[in-house]
Amino acid sequence: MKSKKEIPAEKKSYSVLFFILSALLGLVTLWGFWDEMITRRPWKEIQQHFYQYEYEKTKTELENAQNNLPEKPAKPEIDEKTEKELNKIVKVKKVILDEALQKRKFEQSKSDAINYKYQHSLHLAHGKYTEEVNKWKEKLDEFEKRIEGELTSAVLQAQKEYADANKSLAQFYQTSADPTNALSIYLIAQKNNPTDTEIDEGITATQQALATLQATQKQFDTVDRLKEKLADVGGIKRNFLGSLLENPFRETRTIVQYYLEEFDYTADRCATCHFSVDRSGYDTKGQETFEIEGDGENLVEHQLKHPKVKVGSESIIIDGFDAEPDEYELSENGILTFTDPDVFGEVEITYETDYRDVLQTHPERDVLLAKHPVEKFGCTPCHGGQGHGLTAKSAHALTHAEFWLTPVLGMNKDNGLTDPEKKGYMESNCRRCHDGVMKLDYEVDTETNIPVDYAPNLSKGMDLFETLGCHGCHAVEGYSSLEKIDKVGPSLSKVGSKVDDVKWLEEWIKQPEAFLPETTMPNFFPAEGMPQLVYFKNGGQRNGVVTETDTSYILKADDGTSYTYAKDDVLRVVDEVKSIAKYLADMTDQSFDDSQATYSKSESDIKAGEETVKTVGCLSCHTVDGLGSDFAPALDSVGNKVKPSYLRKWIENPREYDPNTSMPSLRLSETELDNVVAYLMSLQKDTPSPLSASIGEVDASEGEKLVRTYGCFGCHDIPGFENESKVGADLGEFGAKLYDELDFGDTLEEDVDHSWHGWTIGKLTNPRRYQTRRIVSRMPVFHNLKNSVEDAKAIAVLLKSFQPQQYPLNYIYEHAVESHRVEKQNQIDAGRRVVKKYNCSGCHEIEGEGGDYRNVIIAHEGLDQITAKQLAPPTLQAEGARVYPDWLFNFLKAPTDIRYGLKVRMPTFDMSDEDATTLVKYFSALDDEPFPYETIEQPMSTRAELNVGRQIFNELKCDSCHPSQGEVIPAGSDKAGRPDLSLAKERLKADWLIDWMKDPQSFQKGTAMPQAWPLVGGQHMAVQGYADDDAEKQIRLVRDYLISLGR
Amino acid sequence: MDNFLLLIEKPDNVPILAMLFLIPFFMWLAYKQARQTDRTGVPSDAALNDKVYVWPYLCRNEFVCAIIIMLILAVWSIMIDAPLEEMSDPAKTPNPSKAPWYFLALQEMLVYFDPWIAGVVLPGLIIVGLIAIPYIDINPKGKGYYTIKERPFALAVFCFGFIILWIVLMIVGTFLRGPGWNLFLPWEYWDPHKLVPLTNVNLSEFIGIQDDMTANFFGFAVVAGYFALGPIIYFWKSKSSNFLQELGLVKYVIVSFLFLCMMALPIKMILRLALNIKYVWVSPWFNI
Repeated sequence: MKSKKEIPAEKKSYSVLFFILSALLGLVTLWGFWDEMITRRPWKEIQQHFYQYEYEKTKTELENAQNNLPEKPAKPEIDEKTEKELNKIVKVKKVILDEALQKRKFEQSKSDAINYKYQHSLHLAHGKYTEEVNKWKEKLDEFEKRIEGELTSAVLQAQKEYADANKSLAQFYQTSADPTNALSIYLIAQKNNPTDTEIDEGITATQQALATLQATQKQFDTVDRLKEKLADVGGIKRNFLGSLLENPFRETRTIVQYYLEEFDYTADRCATCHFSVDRSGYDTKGQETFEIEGDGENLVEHQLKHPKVKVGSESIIIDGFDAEPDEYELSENGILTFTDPDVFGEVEITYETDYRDVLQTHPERDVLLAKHPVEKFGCTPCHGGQGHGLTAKSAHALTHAEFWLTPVLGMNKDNGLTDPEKKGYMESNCRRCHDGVMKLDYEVDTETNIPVDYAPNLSKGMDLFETLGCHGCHAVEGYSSLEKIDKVGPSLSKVGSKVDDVKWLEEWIKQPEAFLPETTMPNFFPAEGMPQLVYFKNGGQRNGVVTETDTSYILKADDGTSYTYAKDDVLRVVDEVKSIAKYLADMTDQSFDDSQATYSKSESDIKAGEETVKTVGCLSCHTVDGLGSDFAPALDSVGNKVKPSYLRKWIENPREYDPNTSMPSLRLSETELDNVVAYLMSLQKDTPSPLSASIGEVDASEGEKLVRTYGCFGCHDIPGFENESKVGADLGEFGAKLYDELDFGDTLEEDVDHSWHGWTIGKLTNPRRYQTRRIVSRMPVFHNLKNSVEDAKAIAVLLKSFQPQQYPLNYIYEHAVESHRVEKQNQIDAGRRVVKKYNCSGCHEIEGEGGDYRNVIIAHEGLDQITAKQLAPPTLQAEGARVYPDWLFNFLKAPTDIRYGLKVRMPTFDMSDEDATTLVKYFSALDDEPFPYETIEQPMSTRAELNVGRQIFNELKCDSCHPSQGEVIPAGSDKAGRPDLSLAKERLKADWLIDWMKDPQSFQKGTAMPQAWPLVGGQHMAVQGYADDDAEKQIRLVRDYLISLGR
Repeated sequence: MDNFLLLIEKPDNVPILAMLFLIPFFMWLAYKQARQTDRTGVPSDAALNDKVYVWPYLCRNEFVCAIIIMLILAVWSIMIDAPLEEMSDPAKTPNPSKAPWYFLALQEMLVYFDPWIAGVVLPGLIIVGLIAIPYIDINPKGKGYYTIKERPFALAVFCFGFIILWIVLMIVGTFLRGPGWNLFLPWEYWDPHKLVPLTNVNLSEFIGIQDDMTANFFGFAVVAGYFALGPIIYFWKSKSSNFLQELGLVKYVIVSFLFLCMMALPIKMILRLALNIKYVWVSPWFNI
């Protein structure tokens, strides 16, 4: 064994190494603390910022409150000696009163006992007045006389004296500025002597004094409360270290978590950073109105409510005039200084606030968060994102790849800011609870009475999805609106009898927008040239535009690639467009097919037909000469399209050709029909023909196969295709598709953004974009989407809402709210669908929208707004409150004239009972009217009263505008377009009639109906000389008279 | 290349990245010491008697190491968060689905063998082989010091089996295997849509045997012939080799079997990568 000294390891000193390593370990430990407390809790800094704002705001508020503080109310000065004396008197009087009361009570008691004896003796005497009985009766009379006489007056006297004593005491308190005591004493006095007017006056005076005192006190309380709050947030507002030093145990910065046990155990901590999202006062915009008055010497200053203001964003109106920038100065902390010391008047200012973005109040908080309380709904169910994340990066989870949950909606993943391009996606999650409705606006704005749509992009997307007929080819699991809508295209079962010749069909199929630029029919063959289907001898096939050389065919596919095939390899070439057209043209109905039918070509008939078409109401749906609506096809080239025999039968009764059409009958006479056909057949505006030379053969059986391939039956009823399934992909989970699940084909990153958003917009605007040599795409081009990225974006918002994950039942609107609200919503929604189906709002203004037919009248007849409104179809505002449901039902089924002398007609829709009932329910629900049961107030006026009603009716000359039953009204007469009042009984609700006559303008703005009982100072002015000059009564009598006119 | 940089930054891959440097370092250390021993001959008495007390000499070294390790762990845990992933969803498996890093070599074997071989038989043999080492390694030399000269065979087998087959495959599995378990070179982007042509054939088809039965017998013959190599070499060489004589027949057969099993993996890899050969022996019940 060697000695220690010789072993080299021993000589080495490790102290320097130990020191360095220990120091490093210590530093790393400190670093760990810093990391844990500061780096990993970035929200602390944000919350501190919030408290700073809160401190500044409270300070401003306190200053404002202190500036307007009135003088402190004087303390009651009470002369104790007098008070004591007066109180003593009251006490004495009280004793006297009590004694008097007691005395009377005892005597009363005695008299009750004697009464018993009297009754008892009478009973024993079998009802005869014996002596005994008389004795008791006399005694009883004596007692009662005394009680009612002297004893009662003694009580009254004592009461009066007691009241007087109290009055003196109360008056004493009143003069000593103590209204609280005075009032309570006065009230005692009043109870004992209700007739004394002095007491009543005293009570009124003290009540007023008390109210003033309380109001002042409230102001002082506010100041106290603000001071307390200021002290509270003042402690927090200092920096982190400072607040720790002040009170190390006070943890003011916390994680705010909403734990949603019922929503998949979601824990949302977003409000940790978005600290004031559910607090008012951090809006992005401020608006204030206040009065100022300069004293002529000093500059006028005003502190705005928000102490953080974006200078330059403000607009100021002083007394109705826009203020010039040199008239005022606005500082960043919200102090508005007027340069003119003489300025005075009302100032209205709107401005943008300058709070940190993260600390803003939720937009529309009062509606959105009130309906969806954060405690129940959290944040991520609507916004997406990774709610438990505590850094911006992980909470916003902007890429699927890196985080567990979905990215927050509407954000740009590169810079983490809200992206105006994608902001609409925030609405997509609305549909996951509010499914199956057309709009999300069932709550009406209480001020304007117009429904506010809180998800406009989603509503637009849903509308487009249904209008363009996306559901014809795509099933969407979980999107219940689709169960409620029909195919969008017309039935093709008799199309061969409808169209003029097969060439028109070919042109239409090749390029629909060439014939009708507004059509929703998409283009299946967007490539230049006639598309052909090439069959090869080896069994394959390929489609594209084919050109021919001597020995080969050159096929150009949709994606632009060309293929050359030797003629020997090719079995046959079929023209797709022409084959489909031939197949469809073979579908005829002999009863319509009368090619021999002639129609008038005379100028006068055409002229008459034109007048009918332009006045009777056709243009509420169709367009001619740029006049009308694009709900239905434009008619400018209709003469090139249809056969006259079909046209006549179609207009006469559209249901005969297509039982499902929403085209109504306008009840035209035979002559009118002839003229209209003559006019429409004369409309033969030239449209460019999209057809070009084709080498393929035309084969109807190939056409049938192609109809199946392209899925024409998705939008059109075609015989033989009733049981086909949809040709497109199910979109039920499309919104959840990750980017690597989408096929971008040969597209480059610079052409199409390789993201879900990019793919979807790309697909919608050009559906053939991702086609490759191997993947054939058959989705047609929707030219309205091609030309409008905005529309494509709206549809993308809807598509984003197609998610596999179902939200819990108690979050779904239909399950979560009271059944009557759901029922109301369903009634309104169903009604809106019927309104959309029949285009009711083409003529009528419903829910504040539509009624554009008025413009047709203005343009065609050259009338002014007011007259046109008179002659146009009526506004249906408050229709549910106005008319009886059963009358409305019958009217919808078979319309009759209510107003005479009009050219436009309410069409006969041949509506099913179901649709008519839906509409009736819809109008009832809109006005919160009961359906189907309701109380009908039957007016019960006497004949004499009805006579008075008639006299008032005549005095007001109601019949100068309103026609009587069956009256023939010449066009242009004053009575044209005014309702027949004899229909009032069965049509109009009795109590509505009263409201209407009181104030017609409140129901229909701009109505010609005058206010016969004008409102002056809250009272209706009566017509002099009838029914005691009582306006209410007069109105009732006129109403009763109108109802008595009823047929 | 961005993709590759992203990959090595991943918290999961920190230990493998460390391994990439640590293993060569320790290999180099061992090699250096072994070479010194080999040069100076059998370890001297001085070296064998070079002993110090545990306290304080060993303990203070260990303490320094402990502090360094703590420092590394503390910095590591501050800088890099635990690589947690989302809750499992049976409907959505991650692509690629990777085993923990220490099992990636086993997963790599699945590319070349059927699951029952790569997942059951071969791992079992590895364990059996490790257990058997004390019984078949009868060389008393090289205990307590590093040497190459005195244990060339054992060392070669270890270097090949552990470094090449285990560690390298682990690194390949971590860094070069992407979506679909496809091979991606470091500069390639991990594209989930990557398609590789599926053109592998069985050995029997490769040499032109079409009949199933014949192919079955042919495969059996090849595999049996491969494992027969061990005994054949023994009878051929045992007369002239001291090494074989010392080992004896039983030990030799065990060693040669384990060795041939180990070599089956690189052979299969070469056959697959160079000749697109899928299986050597295809039978109705199993494939090898």
